[in-house]
Amino acid sequence: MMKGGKLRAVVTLSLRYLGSRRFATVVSVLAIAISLLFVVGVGVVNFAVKKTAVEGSIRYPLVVGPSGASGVQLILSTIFYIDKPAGTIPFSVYEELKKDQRVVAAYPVAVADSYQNVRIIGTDAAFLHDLGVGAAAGSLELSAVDDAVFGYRAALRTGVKLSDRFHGQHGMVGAADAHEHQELQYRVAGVLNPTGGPEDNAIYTQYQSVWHIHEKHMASQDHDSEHEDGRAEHAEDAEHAEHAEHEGEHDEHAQHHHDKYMLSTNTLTAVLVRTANPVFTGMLEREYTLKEGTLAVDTGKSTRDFVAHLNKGEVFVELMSMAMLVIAVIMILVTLVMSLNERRREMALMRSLGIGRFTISLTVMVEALVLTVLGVGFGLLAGHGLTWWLAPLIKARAGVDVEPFVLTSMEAWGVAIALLAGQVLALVSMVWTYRMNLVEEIARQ
Amino acid sequence: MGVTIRLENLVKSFTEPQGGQRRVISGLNASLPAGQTVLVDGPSGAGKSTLMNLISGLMLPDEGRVLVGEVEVSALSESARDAFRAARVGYVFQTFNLISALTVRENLTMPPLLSAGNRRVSVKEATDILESFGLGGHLDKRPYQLSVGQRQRVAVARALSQRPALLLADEPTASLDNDSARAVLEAVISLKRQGATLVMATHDPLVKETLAFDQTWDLGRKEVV
Repeated sequence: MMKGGKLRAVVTLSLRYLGSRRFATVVSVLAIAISLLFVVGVGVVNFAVKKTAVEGSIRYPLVVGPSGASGVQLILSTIFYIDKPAGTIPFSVYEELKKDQRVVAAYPVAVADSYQNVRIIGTDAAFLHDLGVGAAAGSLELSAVDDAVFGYRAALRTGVKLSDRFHGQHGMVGAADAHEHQELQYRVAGVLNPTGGPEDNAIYTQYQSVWHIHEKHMASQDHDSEHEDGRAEHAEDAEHAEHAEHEGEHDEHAQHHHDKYMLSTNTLTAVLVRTANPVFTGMLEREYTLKEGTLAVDTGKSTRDFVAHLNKGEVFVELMSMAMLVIAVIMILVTLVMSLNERRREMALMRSLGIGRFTISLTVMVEALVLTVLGVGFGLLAGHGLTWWLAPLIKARAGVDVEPFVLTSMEAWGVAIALLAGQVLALVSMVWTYRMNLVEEIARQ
Repeated sequence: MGVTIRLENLVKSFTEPQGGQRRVISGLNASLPAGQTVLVDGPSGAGKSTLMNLISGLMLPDEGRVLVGEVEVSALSESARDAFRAARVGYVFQTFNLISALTVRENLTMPPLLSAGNRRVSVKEATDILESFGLGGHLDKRPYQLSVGQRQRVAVARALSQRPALLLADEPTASLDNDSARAVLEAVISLKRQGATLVMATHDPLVKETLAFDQTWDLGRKEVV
């Protein structure tokens, strides 16, 4: 057993050697630290994304949308506003659900246009009140057809102020079919307080305003095409608008001019539903899935599917991060072995001074361990520090609420692998040194 | 303080890189009384360094025995030979005598802490010895900040600090100018005065003139005089 004084001397000598080749030491520590920083960052952000997804789905246990869509797509487009809507459903579905005894609350969702790449969602004031955060400015009532309420970050991002006016754009910026809707000019009526969810990055209007815009738009397109074809001499906009108010006629009209994604009068993208209990959720899910034209999705289940989908990508990122870590350790091994070769003569000298082969090997082992532990320490500090620093930016850009100091399983694995690799590295260095023929080195002198 | 050295029918061979064996020391018999000095002489490749390594226990002979005092070095285990060197042998090489990561003072105080059986050297003692060698202004410098002569003096100072019974010096002045060589020789002489047995390999005429060697082991001619 090694005495305390000797062990202290071994550690001191190891630290002196690390200090004497500062550049290599710093690079080695940085290699591990950067790899671990990546592991920590990916872990923390993944954790936050999943948490946000799960929390977002809890509020509305059921979403009823058009058939033909996948559950994940429906949830992404109607709760998280990050995917294209999957089609439309009749407004009557919303009315039915609202009247249903098993339903506590039902909210219409009409995902249609955007403003500066922020989704405009047609809904009603009850939905905004249900968020429970209140108004940061103005009113949440959506009392006029041109009233718009901005999510907190949407307001910051677009820089709008109360009473500012703007036009919505069909599709997102850069989309093939993107064009500005001149049919209605919205007025900023209010700004929501932060919810910490996807609502922060959205703009809310009356669902009737979405109908209004698209009716006007369809009418003007109809008007243009009649002129081009020469099939009608006069087609007044007003007549078309009036025409569109008749539901039966409208359907025919819509089929003639627009695809299934176009919202027209008496259609919605989906209905968000809160039920009295999970049994009712299950019942309604079955009923509305069997019903022609609709799909009902249990948000909890679909979110789990979504998270599982995310996990597939995460495994790849995790493997990449771990590979970086292993490469960093191999790099340190190479640096260490190079330094050992440079130090052969000194180690031979130590042998001539009566310092045992095991003690010399131990100093090299301690060097490897110190490098790994320092790398892990700095990596953890940098990883959590960087996510803490970037948390506001991630929240603003992606709407994800990052908890910078959360300990994720990925991080735990990263640290374990780094320390284990460090141990292996230390043992390899130690054996390498132990097997060196240092006496031959003395003879060479 | 000094120790006797007895070499009995010593044989040592090395494997050549191209294969085959080369016998460097062939049946050497010699004896040196305690406190005496011996010059190990001979051309390059005659086996001078090999002989020192055999005496210190860094190498083992193929045949024969090495006895230092009452200890049969050639029969000891590796760890026992380490302890023997740490306790009784001071070693000075032509170059690379110091641990580059340590300061001048630490080169005296640290090695004893890392080995078994070494005499511990306090910071004050190390400082006093180094000052007596004219190195008081360089205590906290690293070896690369010293001249070659200064480094050799530090090496001798370290050997002196251990108060070894046996000093092995392999061409200690070969890379030094005359002034530096004299300073190193004075240090060696001061150790000799303390009664240490001295085994030195050198081609330096200054050393041969200054030190009155009691014996010469000429490995080239295979003579013990």
